Amino acid sequence: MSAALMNWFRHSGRACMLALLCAGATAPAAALAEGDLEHKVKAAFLFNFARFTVWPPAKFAAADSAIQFCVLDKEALAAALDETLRGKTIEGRAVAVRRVVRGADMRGCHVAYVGGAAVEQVATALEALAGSGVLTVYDGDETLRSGAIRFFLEERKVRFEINAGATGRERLELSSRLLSVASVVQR
Amino acid sequence: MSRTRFGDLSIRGKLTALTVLSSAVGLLLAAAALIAYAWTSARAGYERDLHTVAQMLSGNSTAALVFRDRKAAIENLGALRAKPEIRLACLYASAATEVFGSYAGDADGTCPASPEAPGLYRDAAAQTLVRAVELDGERVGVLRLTQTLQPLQDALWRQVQITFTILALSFGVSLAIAWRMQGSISAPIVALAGTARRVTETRDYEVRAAGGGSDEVGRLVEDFNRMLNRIAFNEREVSQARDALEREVAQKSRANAELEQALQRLRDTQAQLVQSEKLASLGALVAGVAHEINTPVGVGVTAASTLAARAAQLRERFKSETLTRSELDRFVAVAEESTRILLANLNRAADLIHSFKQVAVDQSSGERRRFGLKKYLEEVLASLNPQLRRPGHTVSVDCPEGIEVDGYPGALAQIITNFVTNSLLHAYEPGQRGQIRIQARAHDGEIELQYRDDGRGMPPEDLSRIFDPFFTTRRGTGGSGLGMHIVYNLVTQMLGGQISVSSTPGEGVEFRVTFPVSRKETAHDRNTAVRA
Repeated sequence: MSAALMNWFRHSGRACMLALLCAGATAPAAALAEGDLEHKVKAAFLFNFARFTVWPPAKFAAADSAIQFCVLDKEALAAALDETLRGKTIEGRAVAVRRVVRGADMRGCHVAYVGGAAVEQVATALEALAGSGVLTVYDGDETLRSGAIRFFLEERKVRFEINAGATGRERLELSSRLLSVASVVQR
Repeated sequence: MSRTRFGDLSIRGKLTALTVLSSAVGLLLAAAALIAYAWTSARAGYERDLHTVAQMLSGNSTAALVFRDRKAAIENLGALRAKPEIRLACLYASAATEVFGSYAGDADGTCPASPEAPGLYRDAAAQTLVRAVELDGERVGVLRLTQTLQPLQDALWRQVQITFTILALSFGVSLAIAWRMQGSISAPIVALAGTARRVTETRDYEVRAAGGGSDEVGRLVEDFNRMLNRIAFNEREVSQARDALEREVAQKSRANAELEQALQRLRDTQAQLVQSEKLASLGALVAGVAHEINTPVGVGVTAASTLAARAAQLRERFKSETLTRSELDRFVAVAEESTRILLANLNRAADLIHSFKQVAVDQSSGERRRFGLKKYLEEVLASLNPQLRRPGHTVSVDCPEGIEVDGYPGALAQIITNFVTNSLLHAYEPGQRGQIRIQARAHDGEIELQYRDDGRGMPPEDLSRIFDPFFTTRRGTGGSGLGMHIVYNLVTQMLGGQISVSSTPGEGVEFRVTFPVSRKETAHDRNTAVRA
């Protein structure tokens, strides 16, 4: 794509965003990460993470058990996720959003977003989920050992980092296609 | 070559053209088929390749699309550098109208603002595949790949060039081979054709065709020579047969001409004989007449001379006046007797002359008239009397009075004359006194005339030929062999009747003639009458 086009894209971001919101399924490009838009993008990303992830069979009670999306301490994201997941399925499984208040309550979840202002608080919550086979997602500037995916902003776009060590320990299989669009670390 | 029709070519040309054309056509077809197959299979391969690449790229692009990672998407499309024939790749986010990521193999490629509906779009130089990018059944974007067919066309063009080079080479080679090889087939045929033409022109069937191996042409040459042998043989036979035939025809026609001449001579002779026969019978008539008249005339002369002598004696007596009365009485008695004798004999002579005259006129003129049969038969027999009376034969006529016949008395006279002549000539031994009987009867408008002698008769083999011309048992002794033939003709033609003969050897011959009382006049009769 030409540089001029990219430029146009950037400056007409709002119009473009509206169009993306109307489309619904795929989350908007990670531009202008402020407020609702950022949460909408992250909600879409969470949904798409689940699409590229294979859990251990034990994580599902039945073949058609729903995939649980859990959000800890981030209501705005939960609301955006509600919006994003409405009417969606992943490989025949329903998707559901749960709001939790304690990290320990998320062990039964499949995708867990761990919110929280302090890094230590997030780290503790993630540690509590270790060994439960949950794809954990969090925001932050540093990589935490027990977190599988970390959101970060780069050039005002939402980007994410995958901790291959953590996903391996949790016996989660992440698609190479997912890995190809992420920065990957081993911790 | 292009202007002459194939049929007009020589065998040499035909064979060469056939070989070269068939090999050329075969090669051309094979090459065309190969090229077509190569083109379609290569194009199918290209298409398959395009689908594969599209599938791979779209699979790899899902994450980049859903995570809005343009960089990753462009990197992903960058893998197409390994596929130089894919000139342009465009990735669209689902439902978006702008290009999400693109790759251009050459500088000219520009992605359209929005993709076409999914499918394959072909044109002469390129094909474009538009494919939905799906993730878990959900359409997350559209991939558009444009593949140039230039390498394929280049390869095809090279193949065509190579093929046509090979074609030209093999055409030349097959031309050379055909030109060299056709001689072995065409040369004997050409030679054979030359021989055939020579044979046709010169009609010399001794010429033989040469050459020919053991193949079909060789057998053809053999058969041709065999045929020539047969033709030559037949020709000889035919000419021999023709010569023989011509000789035979010449002989036959010579013989025929001779026969014609002989026949003509025979006819002339026959006519002469018939004429002389007629003259002979007239001569016999004249002789008979002379003889018959001789007696009364002789008696008359005697009577007249006696009367003259007595008259002279009377004058002497009267002059010397010694005439006595008794002498005068005797003279008167003698004169009366002499006059009576003279008168009787002259009357007799006159009668004879009259009847002879009638017969002679009838015989010579052949006129038709009415006549009394009995009287006429007697007159005819009277004319034959001298010939009959000399050897002492007797003839009796048994015919009722008053039978009137309307016909040709001359013919009847001649028939009776010939019967009598025949009997006199053949029937009797010298010194034998014969008895000839003629009987005539009329009934139902027909006259039946029987003539019978009591001579030696005839053997059956002679009897069956008695009416044949020139049949005679007395050749050299006066028999012409025509008498009975003339009788036959006179009966059947002049009288319009029939004649039959029967004989018992030793007892005589009997002729039976039947003819109508009144002869019907016909054209045929007039002709024969005139001729007779």
